[in-house]
Amino acid sequence: MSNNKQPKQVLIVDDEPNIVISLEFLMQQAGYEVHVARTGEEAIEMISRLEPDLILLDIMLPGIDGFEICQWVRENPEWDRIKIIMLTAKGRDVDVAKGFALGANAYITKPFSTKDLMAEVRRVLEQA
Amino acid sequence: MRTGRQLEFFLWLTSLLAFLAGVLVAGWLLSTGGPTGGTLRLILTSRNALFLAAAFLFVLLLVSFVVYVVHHFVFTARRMAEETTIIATVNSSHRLTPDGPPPLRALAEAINTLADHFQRVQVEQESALETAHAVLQEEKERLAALVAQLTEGVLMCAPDGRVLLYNEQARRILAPSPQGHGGFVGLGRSVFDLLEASVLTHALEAVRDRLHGERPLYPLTFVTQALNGRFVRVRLGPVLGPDGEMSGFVLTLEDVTRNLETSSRRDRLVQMLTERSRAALANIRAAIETVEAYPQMDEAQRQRFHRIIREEAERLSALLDETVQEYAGVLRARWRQEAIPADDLLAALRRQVERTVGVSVTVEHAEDVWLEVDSFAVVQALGAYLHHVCRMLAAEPCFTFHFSVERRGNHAALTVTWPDVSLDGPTLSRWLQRPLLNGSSSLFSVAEVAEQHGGTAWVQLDQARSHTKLVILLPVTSEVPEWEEALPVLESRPEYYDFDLLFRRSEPSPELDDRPLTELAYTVFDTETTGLDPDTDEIISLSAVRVVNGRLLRGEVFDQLVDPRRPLNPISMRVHRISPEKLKGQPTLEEVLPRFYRFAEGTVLVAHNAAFDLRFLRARETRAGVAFTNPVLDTLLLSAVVHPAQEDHSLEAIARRLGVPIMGRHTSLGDALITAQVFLKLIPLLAQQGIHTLGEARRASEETYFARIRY
Repeated sequence: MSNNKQPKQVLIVDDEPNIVISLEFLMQQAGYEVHVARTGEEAIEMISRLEPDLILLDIMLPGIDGFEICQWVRENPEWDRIKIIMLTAKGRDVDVAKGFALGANAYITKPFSTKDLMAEVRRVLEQA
Repeated sequence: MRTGRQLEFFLWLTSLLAFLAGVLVAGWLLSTGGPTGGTLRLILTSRNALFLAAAFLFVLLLVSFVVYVVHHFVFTARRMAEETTIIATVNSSHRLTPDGPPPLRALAEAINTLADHFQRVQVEQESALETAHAVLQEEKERLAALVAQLTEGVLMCAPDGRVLLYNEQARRILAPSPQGHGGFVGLGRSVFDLLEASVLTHALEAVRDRLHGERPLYPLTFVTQALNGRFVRVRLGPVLGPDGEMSGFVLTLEDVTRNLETSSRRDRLVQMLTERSRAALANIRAAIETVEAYPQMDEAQRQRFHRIIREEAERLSALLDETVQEYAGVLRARWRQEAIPADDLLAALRRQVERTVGVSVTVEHAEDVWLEVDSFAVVQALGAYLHHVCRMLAAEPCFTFHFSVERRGNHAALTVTWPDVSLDGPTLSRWLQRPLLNGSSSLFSVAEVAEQHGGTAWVQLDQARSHTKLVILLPVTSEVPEWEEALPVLESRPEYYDFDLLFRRSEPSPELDDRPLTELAYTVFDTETTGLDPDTDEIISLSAVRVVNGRLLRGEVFDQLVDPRRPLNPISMRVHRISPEKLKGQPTLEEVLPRFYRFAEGTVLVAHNAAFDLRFLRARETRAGVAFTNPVLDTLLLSAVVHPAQEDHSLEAIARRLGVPIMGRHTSLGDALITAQVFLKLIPLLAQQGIHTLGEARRASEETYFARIRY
């Protein structure tokens, strides 16, 4: 689906295996290179190593939480190109506000439509 | 009076001299015959004897007349003067009996007429006073009945926090916990022993701000944990003096311990339910949509998605069951937090930060935004956080914190900005999660406080990356409170009140010793012991009553049996009649003494033969971790001061002498009550001897004979 020669790298950060299975399958079908991190620490390690194009980021993680990861990424100006989509069961308006304030490019509340998710992923990745 | 007596004496003297002169002249003439003896004897013996007798009689008549005048004029006048004084001073119904010569009778009649008039005026005046007093008393009683019937606890305090009034509900809500946390509720005791001082001080400051602000006085309500561990919703209102300044304050109290528990349980439940069902639904939906979108997927893959759907559906069912069970116990009541204009919150914040952090603060005026928050929690948590930030910045915190509030939908964003970016975001965020210490009070973290309000908090850099911003989203209030309904009106039969404390407020003499005995607070106590030797015997019962402002407070009693952890002596059992079974399971003295210490804190200890009880207390205070440094008065010694001629100064003898009914002797509470009444009767007797202050009473005690032989 991607027009680029080099497939975009997507990092899924979620500790729920049952969502990871679907997300992983969907992203692979869409032609992205998919990596999965199940804890905050693992995510930080993989972000530093892979510098992915997109992070699908859950907030409630064991250890370092999603907000903190997002903030940590945004502290580094070199990573401004990394897109972050928060994908979380924390659906209060105050959480959404916090997510955007901390630098998320999109905030998707669970449950979500997979079609909408994929559209959002494409939109975010195509942003300059 | 004195001139009357002099006149009377002079008259007597004159008449006596006249009489004596007459007798002497007659005697001389008779005995010697005189120079012209013959002639005189001739006179005497002849017709001239008649003349002599007549002269003698004249002198007698003269004397009688003088006596008559003295009696009927001078004496009567003096008596009339005394009786008129009686009418004018002690007995206006007394009347003069008209007596003596007509002019004095007329005067007596006139004085009686004047007395009639005077008595009438006096009676009218007295009855007017009585009526006024009765009306006042009735109003007081009516007020008292009202307060007693309120379902809320009511406490009225002087500006320094001394309790002037409380009702039974307040006593129940704030009574010490079974573990001994929290102070005793009582007249003249400090409210700061009942509620967290920092919370109250914060609230009082806020009320003072409101008094001087342009805004109408709106209610100040907050939820706090009392020192006995219960959560109370407190509404605070000022009592204004004639000058418009605070002359005291009223607290109404509601126990919300249960509400708080249920409400936070419900909050947790709702949040857990939404978040977990969101996750489960997300998993199901993603799986189904994926299967539908890719019909050509292989069988093994399809099986995995089916398993996800089944598992997640089962998880949802279980979650629902769990929730229904949990929810059954959760009540609906939820206390409202304080509605406060954002400006007021910012002012409080600024004060806190400037005071504790020592950094200057600028505040941006917030346009009519009202927040619904626990302002104390917000101020304390944020204050502690900013304090921590400053401490962690190696450099002098020479910058300024800038506070602003901006409305965002149902929330308001409270933003603190400071010109420093040397601390990284994740670290600053982690501090948000940590309860930080600010002085002595341990607190909730900023994140917790935000969560409690259904809000959230974060730290971010501003766009230019030159400033750090701390943002807290807090709920705005749906309704701005009406201030008319808010002013707490005091209507009271305070079962327990003493407004005299109010009128005598806030002039604590620096030295306790200089204060009058009539104005002090006393703890009158007594103990029962297993025997008389403080080294080997133990206290088995400790009781005390309070005397405040010259009144015995029968409602404020300490009465506790104590397990001596040793067998009882049968001889002493005959005195106190406490059986060993009664003492089983009672607390030990080490547990009781700290409670008694708090009960007696700030008062003068009074006991009969105090030295005996004190030796028992002092021998054990170190083990109990307290030290009784209160001044002590002994009714035995005071009785010896007042009645030095009396032999017997036993409690019973003094009670009988002073007319105190003897009841319940040889129970520690009974004896403490008798001692207290005896003590109250001793105070005016001491005053007659010029002993007015605590210091004078202590010195007089020491000087008595008893003091010399006993100490």
